[in-house]
Amino acid sequence: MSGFAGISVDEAVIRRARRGDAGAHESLYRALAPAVYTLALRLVKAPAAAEDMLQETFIEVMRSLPGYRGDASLATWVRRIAVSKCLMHLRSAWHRRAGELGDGDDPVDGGAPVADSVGLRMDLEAALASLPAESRVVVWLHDVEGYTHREIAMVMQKTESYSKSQLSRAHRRLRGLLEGGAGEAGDAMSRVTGVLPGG
Amino acid sequence: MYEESRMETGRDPTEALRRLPQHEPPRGAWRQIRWRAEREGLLRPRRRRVRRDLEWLAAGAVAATVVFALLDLPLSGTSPGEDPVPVDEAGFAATPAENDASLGSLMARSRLLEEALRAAPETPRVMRASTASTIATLEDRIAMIDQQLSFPERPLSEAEARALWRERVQLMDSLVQLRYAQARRVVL
Repeated sequence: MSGFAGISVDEAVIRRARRGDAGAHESLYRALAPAVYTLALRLVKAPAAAEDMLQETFIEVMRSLPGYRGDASLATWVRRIAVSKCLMHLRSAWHRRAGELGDGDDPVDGGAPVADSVGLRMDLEAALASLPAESRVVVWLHDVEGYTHREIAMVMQKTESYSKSQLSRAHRRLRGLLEGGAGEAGDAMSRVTGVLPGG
Repeated sequence: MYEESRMETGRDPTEALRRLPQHEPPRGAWRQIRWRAEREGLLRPRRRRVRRDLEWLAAGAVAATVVFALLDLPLSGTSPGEDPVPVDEAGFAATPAENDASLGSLMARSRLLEEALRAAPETPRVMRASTASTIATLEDRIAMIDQQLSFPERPLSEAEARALWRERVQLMDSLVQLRYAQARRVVL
């Protein structure tokens, strides 16, 4: 379940934060930071980059809060900022050079089994992290954050069918990775799903 | 098709992903965010319990004198009884030196004034309504300028950016002078 679900922030805190009150902003941070950091970690993978995204997100919240009209919940609004910051990071020249976010032609299918490269100590987080950036973003936004394909297409500036195909390939890839990872990986999947390996 | 394969495996990646634990941000992350936000003028520093004694004020006054000397700005153009706030609705008259200042030097002055403001005495709990209103006006106008500089509706020309930074320096200068004048009144 999305870490943003169920977070509610008192209106009075938002009003004080709008005026630049440091204590109110700290309250917002305490309520939202774990969800923002987890989202960032899932999307950009590297803890240092995730921390940068955390910082960029909250600085943007401070800058833009006076313009927040309350049409969506504050948590949803902050999540939108965090997703946007992460995507900007992944689209950055540095990342593109590193091949993290390409033009959608990542070798999702047909690549070498990850179990070969990272061994059998793979768990679900590692399996997710091993996905190409675009697949990882799509699968996380859709499966965990509850974005529709239309919303994903909008934030990623792609088509809905692109989002659907990325999701399908990512799911196949995840299952393949986890099953290919044999014992430990299968166990990891079972631990989080509650399903026995092979069951 | 996908649904079928999910059923076949009996292992649901979606459900598994949803159950992954949340991660706590690194310790000290908020401190860094807050430090940056204060530096960028996005947050008002929290009120601190500071002893308002003569020794402390003297230290503040020395710091202010040094900053004003560095900035080459007038220390005070007001009499002791009145608020040293040169705010008028028509705007702020720039000194010839400020008009000629480069963007870089205006930004550097603004930074120094931010530091002076952070070092300034705590705002007293009780203050005259006119003073409180003036402080709010200054802070609002500074925030408005920051907004214009951060999110301009169209790219700013250098002249426009310089004009905004110049006004920011003048507003910050007024704010700093006001805070020190206030502290002087409290102590004396």
